[in-house]
Amino acid sequence: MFKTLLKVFIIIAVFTTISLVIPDGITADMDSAVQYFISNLYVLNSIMHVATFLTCLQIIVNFIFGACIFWFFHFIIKHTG
Amino acid sequence: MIGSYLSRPFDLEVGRGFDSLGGLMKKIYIITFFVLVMFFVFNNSASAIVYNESQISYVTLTGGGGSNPTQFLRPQIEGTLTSIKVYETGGDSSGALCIVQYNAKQTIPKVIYTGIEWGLCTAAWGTGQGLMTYQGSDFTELWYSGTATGSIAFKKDKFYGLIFYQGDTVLGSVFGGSYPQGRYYHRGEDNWDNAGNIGNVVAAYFEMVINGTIYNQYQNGIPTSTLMLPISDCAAGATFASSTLDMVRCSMGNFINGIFNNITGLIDKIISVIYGILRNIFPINIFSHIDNDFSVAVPTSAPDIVLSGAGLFGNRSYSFLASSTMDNAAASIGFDYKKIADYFMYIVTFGIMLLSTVLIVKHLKNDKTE
Repeated sequence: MFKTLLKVFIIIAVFTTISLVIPDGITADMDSAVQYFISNLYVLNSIMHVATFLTCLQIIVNFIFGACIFWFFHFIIKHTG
Repeated sequence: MIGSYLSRPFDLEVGRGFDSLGGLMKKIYIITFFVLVMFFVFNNSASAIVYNESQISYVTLTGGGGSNPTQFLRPQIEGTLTSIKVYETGGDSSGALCIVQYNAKQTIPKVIYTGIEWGLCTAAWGTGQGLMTYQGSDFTELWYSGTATGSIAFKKDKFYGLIFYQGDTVLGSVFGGSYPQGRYYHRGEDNWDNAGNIGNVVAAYFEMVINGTIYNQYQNGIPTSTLMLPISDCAAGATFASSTLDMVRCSMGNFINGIFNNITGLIDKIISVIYGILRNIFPINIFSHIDNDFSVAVPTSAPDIVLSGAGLFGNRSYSFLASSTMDNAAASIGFDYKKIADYFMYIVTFGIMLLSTVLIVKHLKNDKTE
């Protein structure tokens, strides 16, 4: 139990540090590019509902990320005897 | 160990941690997985009254005869929205102030989307002024007071038309009437529709209460783009590069407040806080931008794709995906191909989710028997 908690905290600390180190500008640029791309997808609106497509995409992406987070926990618990 | 695991991600024979869990713990473990994943999926549409930042895209202040609208940016905070107030005074001719909810989720069928899609506008013609608020547990009540002569509200798929309120008295309503002046959003179309000439807004005040904190913006004179900054001490959005510890503190604070302030929403609060912490602490938090990106993205006024170029296509220009032709053709034969495509996309989406879930559960069962 203690070992598991220790691992969890170490991993939290590592990623917290990384999140503090990476400058805002990088992620802001990424966001900007992604938003620009998504916004321009609306030119396809004459042949399909782009909003629906984006919704589906977002649902899938969120699902995958949710599964990833679960798997992250699973990984820690699985490897802590 | 990590390296060996990553190099053999489907090797089920390493580790006995999961196996050592009791039967009840395993059930809780798997149920937790479903709760977490489902919350991730439906996070933005899980409750009718718990709004998050993605559900309020922007507030648009129009003025100057239909000139470019000014946007009050939405507050970058998640929480329970309990009040919206819009106050504006008309200028020499008219003024219009709209709150518009727009995001990519608008076309989600009701069976999936349980939230409220709403929008409201005030319109003060002449020298009127008005105060408009949304009240009621699900914001179905529209209250209007002041001397402004008209307002327009629409909710979900229904256009409410002109509604005249004075205090708590309905002075009259014109359902299905002609569109009033103002700038509003046509549901079902991904563009703004500017109906009529829009006059000058002399002053406007916008206020919303989220988690008991007032966020407001006062606009006086010629509209200019203004950032609405949250006045809460809570970290805003807690993006990837912001302070994670602040986010934890803030989330825990919200959690504690939630216990005392909202017993009925306790479970939702707990899940929200867990979700918030996980999203912002774990590596996955780099992807927390995804929701923001989807919500911020708005339809551009970009034209249809135009193929042209010197020496190309015989120096002709070809308009690709012209918007009206296919729509007209579909309408003339009564075949809404876009709707069919919507159903297809949803079926594919949930098919992918279903298959993925089956795969994961299968993997977990294999874990148990190893």
